[in-house]
Amino acid sequence: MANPSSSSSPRTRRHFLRRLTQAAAFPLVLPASTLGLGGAVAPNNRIAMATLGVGGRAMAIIGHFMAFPEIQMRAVCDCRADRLEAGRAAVNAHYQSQDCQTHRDFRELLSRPDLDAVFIATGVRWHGIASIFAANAGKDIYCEKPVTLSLAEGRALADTCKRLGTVYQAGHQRRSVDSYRFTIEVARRGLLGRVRTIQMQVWEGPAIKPEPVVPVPQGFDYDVWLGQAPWRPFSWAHVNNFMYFWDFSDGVITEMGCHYTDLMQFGLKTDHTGPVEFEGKAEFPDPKTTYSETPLRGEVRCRYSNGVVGLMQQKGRFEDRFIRFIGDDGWIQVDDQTDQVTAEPKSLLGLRRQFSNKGWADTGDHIGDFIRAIRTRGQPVAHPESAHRANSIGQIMVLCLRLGRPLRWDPVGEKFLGDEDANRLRSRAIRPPWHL
Amino acid sequence: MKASLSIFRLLVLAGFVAMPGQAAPPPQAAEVETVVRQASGYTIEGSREALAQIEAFIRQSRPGDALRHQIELQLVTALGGTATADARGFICRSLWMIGTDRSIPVLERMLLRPETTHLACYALLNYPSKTADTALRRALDHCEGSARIAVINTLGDRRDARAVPQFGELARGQDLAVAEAAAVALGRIGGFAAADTLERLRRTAPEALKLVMAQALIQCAQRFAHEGEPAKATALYQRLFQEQEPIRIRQAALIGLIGSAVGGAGTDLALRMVNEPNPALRAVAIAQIPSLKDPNATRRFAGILAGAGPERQVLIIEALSQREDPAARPALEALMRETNSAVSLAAIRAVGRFAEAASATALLQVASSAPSADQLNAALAALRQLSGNSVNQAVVKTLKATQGPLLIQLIDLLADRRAVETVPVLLETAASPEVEVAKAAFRALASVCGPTHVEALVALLTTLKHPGLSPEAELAVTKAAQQIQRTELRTSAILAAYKTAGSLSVRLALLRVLGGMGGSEALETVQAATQAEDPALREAAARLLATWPEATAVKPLLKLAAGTQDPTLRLLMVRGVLRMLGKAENLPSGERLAAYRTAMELGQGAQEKRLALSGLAEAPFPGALELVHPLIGDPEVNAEACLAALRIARAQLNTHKDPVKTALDKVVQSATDEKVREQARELARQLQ
Repeated sequence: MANPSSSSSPRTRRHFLRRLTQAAAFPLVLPASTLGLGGAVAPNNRIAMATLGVGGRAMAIIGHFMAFPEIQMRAVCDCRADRLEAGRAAVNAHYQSQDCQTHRDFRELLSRPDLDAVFIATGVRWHGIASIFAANAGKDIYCEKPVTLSLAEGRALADTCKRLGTVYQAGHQRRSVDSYRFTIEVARRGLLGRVRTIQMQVWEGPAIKPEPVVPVPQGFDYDVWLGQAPWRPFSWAHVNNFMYFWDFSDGVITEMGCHYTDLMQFGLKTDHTGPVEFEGKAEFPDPKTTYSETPLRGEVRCRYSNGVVGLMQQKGRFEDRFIRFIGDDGWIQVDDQTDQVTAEPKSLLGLRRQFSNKGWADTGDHIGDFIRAIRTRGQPVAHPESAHRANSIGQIMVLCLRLGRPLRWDPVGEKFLGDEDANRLRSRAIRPPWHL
Repeated sequence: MKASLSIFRLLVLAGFVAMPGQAAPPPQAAEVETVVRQASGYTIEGSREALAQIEAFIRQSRPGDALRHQIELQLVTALGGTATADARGFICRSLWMIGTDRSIPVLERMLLRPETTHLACYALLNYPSKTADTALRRALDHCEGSARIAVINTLGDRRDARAVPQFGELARGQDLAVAEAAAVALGRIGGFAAADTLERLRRTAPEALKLVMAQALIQCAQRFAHEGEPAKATALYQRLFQEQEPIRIRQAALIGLIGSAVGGAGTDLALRMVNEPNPALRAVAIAQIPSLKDPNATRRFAGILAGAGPERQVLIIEALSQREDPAARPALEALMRETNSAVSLAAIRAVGRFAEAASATALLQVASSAPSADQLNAALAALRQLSGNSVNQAVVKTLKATQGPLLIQLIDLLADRRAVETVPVLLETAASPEVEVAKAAFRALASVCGPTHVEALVALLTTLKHPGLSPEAELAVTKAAQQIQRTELRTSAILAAYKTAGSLSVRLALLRVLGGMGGSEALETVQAATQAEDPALREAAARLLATWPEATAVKPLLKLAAGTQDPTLRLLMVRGVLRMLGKAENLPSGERLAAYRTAMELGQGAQEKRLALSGLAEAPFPGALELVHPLIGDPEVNAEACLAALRIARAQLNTHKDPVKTALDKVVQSATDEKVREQARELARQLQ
């Protein structure tokens, strides 16, 4: 087999060396036997990984994993034959080998003792459950967002990782991106005065029309694709647009908004708690003509017990998304599409000494942090508790919009106050054989 | 809380309309019945209108009220009737939120049919009464395979302790999938009975189930700890930490033992485990340091750091830094100069994370004698994070005793730290004979100076010893002066210096600074300089006018452009005018028209034409089409002219019909792109 590192571009090699000299100097002194939860030693001291779910998101990220010579991607898994083959081909092309193995059943993959960690990018209906299965199988985890489909699933995920000592990095990669780190630093250092409001904007959701029920295509394991969701007949309308149906997702407010609620939590240093009040309104698709369910447009606010308000707006175009921290003495904003930071007073921008041309689309530094955590068994920057709490905010916002009334939330007991209906919606019955 | 919520609601609701369904009167029973009957025929290819109405009814209702009762009654009727499979799915999702004992009989029947078991479980998951548990337990004996697993999972999620005996039986059965589900559910239920059952079963369980049961036991122990029974948790963890257990279980048990220990016992155990031969257990124990509640934990781990050896030192340093207890700082500072670079770097970064001013001197010493660039950069990065003015004073003290590259890095550090109080030192340093040092000082001054420093900066600019410093010095003056709010005050110090400046280089420098400021006085001065005797000053002034930030320079520029003999300079000025005009929306349209006309006469190249067309299209004004019209059909700019004409025509369709019509006709004749021609025709049709 060709040496994987030999196929790295100069940029990726530099990237790796920089990581090695910055955060991840640890491998130089740690024995290889500290790799992996079971102390299993990966051949040639690399972290052996597999990817669960090789759709569009995974294919965009998988190269960032493989750019690290410390990682060897050994296998891919998907319930769709075409995607499985494309994933295998991408891994083999990177390593210039034919060694990537494929699995249709992720349980079979997780049972392999030669794998240390997994990258999960399956769609949110699977993220939490696959993560818990992976943690129980002794694997460390990098999982795409949103991290779970329900509040209870999020709590189970955080508890499981804590219980088993799993290193889990959520795909909230903006925590590791220079522009956002600078923004967080400005907010945390009090340079905006007291932070009062965090304004977040995600795009308007589409209205998906019904399409005919059709036979399940050959090579498509639809039962596994559905995962925990109640069974429904096959239609490309929901298969291709799953993030706009309650059974599979909570819509744009969690799918994209979780990045911003995560940054809000990070900036406010509230990773172990959350807001206490939620209120808002939304416009939903016309039920006469539309199949999808999640909001088209909306605005929802949450308030922390210290009075700080988070305002999530679902409006405008995809390109218009942003997060802004607003304080007594100024504001700072990152435009997600362009990675451009703006601020008032403008002099705040002069504080930014380090400029990186890597925006949110480059997950390299976030993966580097994951590697560091695997080596030290410490917490990565987007650890499970932080990921669950950030995602919770979006989930509660959506429940607030679905129920059409304000909600009060106890972030300690993780329950709604005085709203039995809302409390019942904290968990969903997972379709067998899956479970938390 | 109540008062603050009211204020919050007022704030949020300002400008909001009510949610659909909230303001409507409650529906009558007959209406609910009709809508549910309509919903019973739902398929995913059809309208969701009836479903949405039911959801609106549910939002209007509350647990226990008449409307909620009516909705549930109708949903139950539909479930027992001929509802489609898709409709049943919807109904069960509704009962998930609102179902009561009234709907349990129909759901229990659904539990027994494999194709509907999961839907029934979906509904029953969070039913408040124990009647649901009873129904689920009854169903356990009558279903099998996947359906049985669904029921097991639901009882497990509901933490039904009365299901433990049945689960015990199922966990020892032949169906491995069911047995595994039962073991997992026992872990979720927790409590003594579940843990006891799991421990007994595990002794004789097949290998495939032993690990699942051990993990379920770990979950039971975690729940004991969470629910205030640390003794039970510890006892269970200890049994699972035995050497014969799989390493993953031992690791989890160790995490639990350290986490649930009382007082300093967790620290004792973690400290013991630092010397554990198994590196996996050792690393996990060290990783628990951040979460130890023992107030002495930091001190005790800091105490063993020096003798722990590099591998453990790196791990402990990382863990102590995550603990965020400043008591660790002295021990970490002591390791910053370790010969092992991994240890040294870890310690420097950890000290930086504490951000304490007291670390400044130690970090500056590291920076002054760092054996590698990595350590130097880490020390400087750490210094950037420290808070407090005393840090800046410490940096200044070191700076005064430093030479060479480190001196420049320390100056950069002051800039990064926005150390305003060090401006006097930076002003001194800017007068350094070493050009690179002086440049760094000016860069720092540009970052930290404000309005009060303008005069001092101007004084420095006018007495520069090296001409290479001028760009940095000019930038520092500009940045500081731009912070002055009132335009007339912004340039006063610079203008005063300009009037008395002796040398040409100083006058040029000050003129360049004025060029970035704007304002009427600055404009007058630069304008006057365009008539200066010195040709260099004249040209510099003309070039500055061409890039003037405000449209007030249009008139003098056009006059200059008309008078100059230098064709290059003329073009530069014409382009400057055209750029300004493109943004000069406040200029009266008559003046704009005249200025465009003059500029387009003075500059007739393709680039000038394109600039003019771009500006005219961006901000159309009366008369704009007159300027564009001659360019339609011009081979150099035909495409741009047609597009500009279309854009202006759209904006003036209803106000300037005749010139618009004429321009559109010409576009139809001249445009090479059929789409453009079609757009022109369409606009022309709209005119009619």
